Amino acid sequence: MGNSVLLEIEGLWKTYGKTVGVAGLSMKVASGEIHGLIGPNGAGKTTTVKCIVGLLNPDKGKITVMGRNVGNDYGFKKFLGYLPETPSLPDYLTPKEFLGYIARIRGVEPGEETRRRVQEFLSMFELNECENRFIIELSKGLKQRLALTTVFIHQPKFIIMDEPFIGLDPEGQRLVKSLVKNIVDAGGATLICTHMLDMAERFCNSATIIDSGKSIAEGSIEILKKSVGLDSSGTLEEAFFRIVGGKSSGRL
Amino acid sequence: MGDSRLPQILMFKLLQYYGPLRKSASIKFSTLMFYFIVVFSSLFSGVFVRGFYGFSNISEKELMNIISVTFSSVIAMGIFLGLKGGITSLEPEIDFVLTSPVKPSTYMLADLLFQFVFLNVAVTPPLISFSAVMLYPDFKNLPMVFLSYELMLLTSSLMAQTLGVLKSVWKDVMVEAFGWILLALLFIPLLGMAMGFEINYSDLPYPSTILSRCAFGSLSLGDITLGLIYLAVIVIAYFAAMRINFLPDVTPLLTTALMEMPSSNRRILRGVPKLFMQVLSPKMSEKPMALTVKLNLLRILRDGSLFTALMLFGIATLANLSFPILIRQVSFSALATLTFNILYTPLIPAIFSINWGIVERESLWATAVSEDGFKKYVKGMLIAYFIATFSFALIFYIAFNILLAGTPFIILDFLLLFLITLFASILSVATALTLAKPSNALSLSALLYVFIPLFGSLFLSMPVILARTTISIADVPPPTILFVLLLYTILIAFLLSRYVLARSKTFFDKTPVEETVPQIQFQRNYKNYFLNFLTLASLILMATSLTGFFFGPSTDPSRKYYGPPLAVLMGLMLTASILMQRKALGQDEKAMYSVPSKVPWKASQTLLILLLALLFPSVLQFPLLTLSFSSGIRANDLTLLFLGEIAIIIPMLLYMVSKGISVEFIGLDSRSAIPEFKLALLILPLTVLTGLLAGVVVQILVPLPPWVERIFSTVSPSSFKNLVVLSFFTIFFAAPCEEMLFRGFVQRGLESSLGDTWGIVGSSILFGLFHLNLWQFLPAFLLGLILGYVFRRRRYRIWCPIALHAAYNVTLLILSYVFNV
Repeated sequence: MGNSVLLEIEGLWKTYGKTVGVAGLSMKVASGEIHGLIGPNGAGKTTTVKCIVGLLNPDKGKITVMGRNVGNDYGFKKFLGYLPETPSLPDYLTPKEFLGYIARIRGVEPGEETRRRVQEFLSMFELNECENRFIIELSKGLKQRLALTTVFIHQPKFIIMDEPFIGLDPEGQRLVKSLVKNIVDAGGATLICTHMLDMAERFCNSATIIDSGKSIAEGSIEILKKSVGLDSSGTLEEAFFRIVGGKSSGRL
Repeated sequence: MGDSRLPQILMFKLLQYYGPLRKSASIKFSTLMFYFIVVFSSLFSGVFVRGFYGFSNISEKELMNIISVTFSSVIAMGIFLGLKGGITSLEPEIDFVLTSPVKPSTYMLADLLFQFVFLNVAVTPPLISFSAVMLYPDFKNLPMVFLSYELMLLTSSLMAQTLGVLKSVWKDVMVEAFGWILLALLFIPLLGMAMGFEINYSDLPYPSTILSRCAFGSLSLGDITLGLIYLAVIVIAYFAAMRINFLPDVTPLLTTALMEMPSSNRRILRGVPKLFMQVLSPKMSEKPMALTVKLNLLRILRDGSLFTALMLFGIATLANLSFPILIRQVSFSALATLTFNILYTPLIPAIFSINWGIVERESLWATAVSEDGFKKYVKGMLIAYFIATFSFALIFYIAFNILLAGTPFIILDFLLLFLITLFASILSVATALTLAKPSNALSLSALLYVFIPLFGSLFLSMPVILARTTISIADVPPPTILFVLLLYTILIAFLLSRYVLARSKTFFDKTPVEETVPQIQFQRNYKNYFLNFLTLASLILMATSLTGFFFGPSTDPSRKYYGPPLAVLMGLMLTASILMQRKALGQDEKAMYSVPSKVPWKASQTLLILLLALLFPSVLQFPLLTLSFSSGIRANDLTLLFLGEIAIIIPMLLYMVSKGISVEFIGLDSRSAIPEFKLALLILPLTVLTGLLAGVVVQILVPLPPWVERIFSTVSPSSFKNLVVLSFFTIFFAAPCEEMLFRGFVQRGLESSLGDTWGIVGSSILFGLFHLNLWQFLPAFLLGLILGYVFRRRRYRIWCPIALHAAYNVTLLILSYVFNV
């Protein structure tokens, strides 16, 4: 496991009018981590993620991805893979056209290289039969798979995914997990927002628990469990309820 | 990295926005047709406006005023978009393009170019046609006007984006206040002019006015200096904005364009009086119907539809009120202007429906599952739309009445307002339930949501409009007329609502895929749709001509005597024929299907053959004409007609012979001839009436110039012998040839590429255009629809349409001989 920090958030604040989305969140993700971002509804997970990928402008705070400040430098996006919770896909493009386009604007070399990679990922995710149909005609599962191809096609180092497994069949889930493992083993990292705690427990090696816009616990899965007095036979789910339940005490 | 991405981002945006056009040939065709209708309407409204205000030349000063206001509206549009974020994106771009390593300034530039393209495509042709009509006959300024307009459009987009960026740098509220101040500066002078203050709009020191003066070549030194200053400020501000590292919180503006402006809407909602909110808030003890109405009203209020609709309605009203003052026709009664405003009212429910289609439509699953739930929802929607639209339109009307004229309330105005609101509300709901979801708020499909209620309610309110514009009865309409009009209103409203409620039953039958295709889908039961339409059309024309008979421009007093009984007779014949028709057309369903169901030629060949068909008569007639000129022998008019009719089917026959296609394909099946002729006699009255009334209406609205009258007189029977000859010609030459071409060939060709609907409508439009004059277009078009429908209903056997066409023409000949029209 490398030691470089791929994502660092310091004191992130984001409010929508009177509602507070994120209230002074700080967290780190180092290389080699498959980091889960867990929390109740309305905790601020999606807001945080959108601030990291540069879709929302934070009110206060600093976010650094791979050493670059997100507010000043868009260059980090070359190595970033992102999957939103409900991705919007253009209705009247075909998967082939769409994926080719994404590959190009994410830095894949034009011409032969792009063509090769598009073919590779379309067959990897079993989208060959529908590669020339309009996206609007595809089922939800196929759309999810197409959105996932855009996450990996440009060989990113840092991936952020918001509920990636919803609508995905077991085959697809296995594929995604192996692709993520490849990236992480090569020194990258992943941040996954999810509500599926049993999945998070088996897949992630560390997590941040967030509630009411603040981080209330962060660390490897083992440490999280130990901090509330559970040994390794206890579940992350149990640990989560203990941590979130006792959040007013503010302990790690 | 960097600018090499710009063309790709632009292509992506264009592909997304125009994406639905890739779906099928039919969509492309529909879009093209709709587009031409929009341009044609703007041409027509230009002609209408000039006619109304007098065809005499508009002075250059007045033209500059009009152009200035137009340019100001373009800027206003930019400010409006800017206040909403300035960057016209759709959701997929936010999810995928903004999260890619794309330089913010590159993306902004791509968006700028995109705005320039799509705004030009959407707005420029109608606007330039309108301007051209206003400038007629002196076009020397048109190129400069066009160039200035393009510059204005670009400036507008620059301002929109700059404002959008400002929103993330400054506080939202401050930028919105700034935007509103700019809008006020642009439009308050218009209000002042409408109220009678002496202001010359084109003298104001705005960028729009300076550009318009530039277009007419009357710039002063002060203008040039000020213009350069404006240019510098805008360009510098834009470049400063481009240096932003971080694009502002980008929202899918194209989707939410007609919805809330977040901070302003919340503030306005807070300002709504507590008592009013108490009345609106649904209580659990209420009846379900009252609840649905309230929920619909709340939706309109909370998603910002009402706010946006009223804002746009206000701007349209203001522009309209100031128009006569802009061109110095102060003598034109302010009251008449107010009436025009009533015609903009359909904008309000149209916007409700657009936003409904974009958002609310997705969340109807809960209502759908309850018994009868959706029908109640639709009823609630109709009532809510009507209440909201009528209340505010009335408030506007009264306010402007007080502001401008202070003259007494005209009852016909009130009736017109009521009618337009009623029809617009029903039609908006009908559109929402029939059309597919609009792809985004600023798309062509969204424009249809405006177009249909606007022109539909205009068309349906024709009788009242006609009555209102007849000055003699405007102030004190006779009670009988009022009674007739009210009865007519109730009848039409009833028919329309029945259509809407019937539609609500089949709303959830469609699969999701079909729903997102912007295509008009007719009810599956063709028979009901078409018959209802024809009934409706005939009723409208009958009511219009009734009003016309009483108060039309004719000075012939005897009209008062035979007019009303004739109208009543028409009505009775109509009812009878409709009742017979329903049964008659369905006869012989189980007979052997002898005409081939598919034809081997497509739309492209059809159009080519039709073009040749138009040219061929000239080819055949030309030698004859030159012969007659050179030898002094006058060619018989009738001979030319004979040749003409035969000539039009020659290209078609040559094509079929060359491809080995049997004449059966165009419907000439010998065994079914006699029974089909008998059937035609039964359907004759309805056909004749529709054509007749359509012709009468067009003649009332647009009187015939003398040179056209002369041409028509060649086909008007001057003697009994003439009558017989012309009838013979019609029955054995005109009707068969035209039917074989337009129904047998054109309709089936269009059908095989573009679907059933476009087969009938397309061939009817072409049939109408074939007559090459405005006065015969409408009757020919309507006749074409009926014949096309009959042709299809009779399984593509051509005999019934031929017989109908012949009978119709002969009846008209007899009538024109008898009445000497």
